Amino acid sequence: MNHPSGEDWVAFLYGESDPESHESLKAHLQGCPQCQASLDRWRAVMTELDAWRLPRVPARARQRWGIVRAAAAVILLVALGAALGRLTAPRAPDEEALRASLEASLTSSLEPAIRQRLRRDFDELAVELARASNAAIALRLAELVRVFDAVRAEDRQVIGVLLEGLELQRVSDHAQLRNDLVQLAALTGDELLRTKQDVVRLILYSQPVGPTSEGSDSSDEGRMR
Amino acid sequence: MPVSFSSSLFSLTDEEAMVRVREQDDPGAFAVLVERWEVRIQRLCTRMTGDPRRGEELAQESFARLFAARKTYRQDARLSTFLWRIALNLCYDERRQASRRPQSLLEREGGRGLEAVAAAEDPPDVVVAERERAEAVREALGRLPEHYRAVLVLRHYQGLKFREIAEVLGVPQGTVKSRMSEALDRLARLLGPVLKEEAREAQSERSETPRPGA
Repeated sequence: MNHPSGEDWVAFLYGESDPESHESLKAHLQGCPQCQASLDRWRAVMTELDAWRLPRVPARARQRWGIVRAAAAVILLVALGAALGRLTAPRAPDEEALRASLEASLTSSLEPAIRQRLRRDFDELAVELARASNAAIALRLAELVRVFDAVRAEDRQVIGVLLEGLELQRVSDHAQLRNDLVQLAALTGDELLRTKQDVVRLILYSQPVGPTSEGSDSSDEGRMR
Repeated sequence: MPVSFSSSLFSLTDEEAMVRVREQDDPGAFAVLVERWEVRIQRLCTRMTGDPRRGEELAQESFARLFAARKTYRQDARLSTFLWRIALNLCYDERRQASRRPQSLLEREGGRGLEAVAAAEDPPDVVVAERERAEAVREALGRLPEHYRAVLVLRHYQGLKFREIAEVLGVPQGTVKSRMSEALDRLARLLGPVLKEEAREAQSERSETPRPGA
């Protein structure tokens, strides 16, 4: 039997074979345990691949855009307040009566104009805002990359200097230690000699107390040494 | 509240937005592209490098490169193809650099971020088992040669069609498919022990026979 190729089967598995070849592949599968087995193997791999999941939305992306949106909202609200203030100010004459009588006609005539004006302000502001914040983001992005590289390079340099310093320190410590040891050895040698002489002297002094003659022989040897 | 400004920018196709970026350095259009593509690019880079944090960094770098390369963008090319290619190349470079670094942090810390995925209500042993499975997959992918890994990640995780992958990689569609089948074969071998265990568990559940020794 002529088996379909691996290329055919991956297209089949990922639903990318055209209807005609899909049918013929399915038909082949019915009568071919060999292809069935290898397909099952691949299906198991595909299931396993799905075990490696990633968080739906990466935390930082969400946070960053959240901040931009919040900033936009705040600025829009402030602008809205300013726009309202600007528009209502000329509508606040001191005479209550005049105001009351004029209000109806004023609002009806002004409203479309206000709305239009407000909307235009909004749009301009929003576009400016988007520009500004997005420009900032683009710049930050590039800057971030640069800063990151710079910091890495700097780190490497600092570590290099530190290591060099450590090495120098180690070498000088080593020399110092050696000197100390030599000195110590010399001192210890002197000290030992002195101690030995003291011991010999002590033995000599204590000689008269010992009753045997052998003792005097050994003390003679000790003196000669 | 009327948000007419956004609908004008956000209704642009990727290609139109990119042309705006190319012609006018329009930051608004660029931000739209970043928002649309950031997550996908980040996921690609994470899958390719096996390290979520590195994936995030490489995604940012991809957009910086995209902006830097805006003048070379041709309108008849799909923006997605252009962008996938930039990101993939960065991932390739990353792997090469990582392999030159002595035992990089990437190897030791790559597992971070996996635990965040398991549902909180799952019992601990399930969480641990799931994490181990995920870790085995991550590790196996890391051992695939990168031209297999790229095809597999783009098709299986990013859901690109073989035709699109061929366009991104600049190779015939047949090549993409044969790489995919080779990748699945290799993964079956790399994941062999895990797969067998799963199969055995599935079978014992199905037949409902008591486990030996129980």
